Amino acid sequence: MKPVLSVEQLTIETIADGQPLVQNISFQLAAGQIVGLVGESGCGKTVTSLALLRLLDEKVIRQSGRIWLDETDLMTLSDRTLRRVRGGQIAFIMQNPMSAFTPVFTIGHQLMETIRTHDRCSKREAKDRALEALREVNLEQPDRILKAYPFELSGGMLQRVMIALAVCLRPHVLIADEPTTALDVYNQKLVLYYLEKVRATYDTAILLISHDLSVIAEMADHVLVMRDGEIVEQANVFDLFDRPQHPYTRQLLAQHGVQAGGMKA
Amino acid sequence: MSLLQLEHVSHRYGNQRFLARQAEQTVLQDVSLTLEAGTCLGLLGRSGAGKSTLGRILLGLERPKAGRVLFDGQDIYESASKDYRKDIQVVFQDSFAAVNPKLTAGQIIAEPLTNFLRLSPDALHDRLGGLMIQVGLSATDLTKYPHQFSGGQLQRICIARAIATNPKLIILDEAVSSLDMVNKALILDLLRNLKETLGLAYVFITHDVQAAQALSDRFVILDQGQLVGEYPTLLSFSEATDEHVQAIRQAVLAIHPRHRTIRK
Repeated sequence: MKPVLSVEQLTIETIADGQPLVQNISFQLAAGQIVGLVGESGCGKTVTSLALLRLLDEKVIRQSGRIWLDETDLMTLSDRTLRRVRGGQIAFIMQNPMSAFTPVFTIGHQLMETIRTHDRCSKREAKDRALEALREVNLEQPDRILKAYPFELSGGMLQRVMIALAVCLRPHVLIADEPTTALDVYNQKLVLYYLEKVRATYDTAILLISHDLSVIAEMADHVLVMRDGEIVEQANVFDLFDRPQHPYTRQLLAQHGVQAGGMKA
Repeated sequence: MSLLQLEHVSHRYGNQRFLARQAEQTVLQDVSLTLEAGTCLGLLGRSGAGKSTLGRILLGLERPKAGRVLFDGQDIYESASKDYRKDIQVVFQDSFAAVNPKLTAGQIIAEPLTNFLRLSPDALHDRLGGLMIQVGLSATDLTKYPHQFSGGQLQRICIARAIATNPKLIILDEAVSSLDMVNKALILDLLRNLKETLGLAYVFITHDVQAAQALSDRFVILDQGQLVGEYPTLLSFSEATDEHVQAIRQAVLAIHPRHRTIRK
């Protein structure tokens, strides 16, 4: 299957002292596939996700390699063209829904602004699409949510709004950076359930970044294990849990309560 | 006598919206529980259940609308003695938000010591160094600022600050919830050790069942402000089959992809 997103030899380093943050990583995402990126805090997961959208400050950080989105290398695009890709073809879901929205505008304003930035349509049409998107993640009373400000919603509700926002433009690729880390276990399961619904409905490719191996176990087809900016192992999720090759993967699994070759009682 | 005793505690918040009058919301209703010295109570429930409000009430920060909070037999909201402030400490979820970014680790940990104990500069210095070692850091880290620590290390600083005054009870409000799996295991180990060596009691507020089970001796479930389940031992909790325990267990994700339920 032809990948939607293909990352080739991505390296990220600081310009000031040439400190490598991510070293020579390569991976691919196919339509409808969920790839999990797992590792400890500070291993380079988030910086990788930001690099894919070229959101890192180019005055401070240098990145090299190729990022193919379908036929285009994102590394060669101008800022202007990139802005259309971001949100349109690749959408991003961040860890903390409380700080991802602007506090001073209503949810409806922010949803409609996003839709109208990418697609030319009337306000009315944008509103209908926003309502439709909120209904898809089963938020009750979507017309009330449109009028609400972010602080009036709970973290779990906001994260579902964020999924609605990310998906309403039907992106080919969704990058979800620790989408459930800030949520309680009940909301975590709900948000993961809607991510899966999005994948199944629109054949979206998802890069799911998490430090939680349970989230990976529930969701991923393929897993990348990252340590100190390098991918030390990548494998099919079942193979990875059953037959981890790298000692670091074994260590992570052991801490998680899975012994290589089977589960701990 | 129990270390901590809550008698029929109820609390409400006024729903304050600018220029709008709305009904008050009950966040805790008739909550009674006891905690013995040196034990850990796991307080479970979903967001909005009233867990953190209960934590604030235990800390003496928020007077409940009804009921009594007895610590060492004294009602903390009525008695003249404020000793409980030294004896009850807290560790929050977000360690970066819980410290002053302009202070060094040493100054952060020294704050409760200078508030409650009169120590000579030498004794203070020794105490700070000892505390750092107790939480698995080094005395040389005392001059560092919060941004120079990782989340796990800074949480250790917060724990050092909490144990500085030799308290009897620490409220752990989601204290391991935002740590990655490696740090979570390490901090839980540290908390377990401190509990045993210092004879500390904990109220461990969390929605993370696995973390709760790793540390707690007893469990209660709070739902919409009410205690809906009490389990006196780890075994009675792990074998319980009532709807509230079930709801918590169903929300727990699979450990292994073979058992996953969201994707088939």
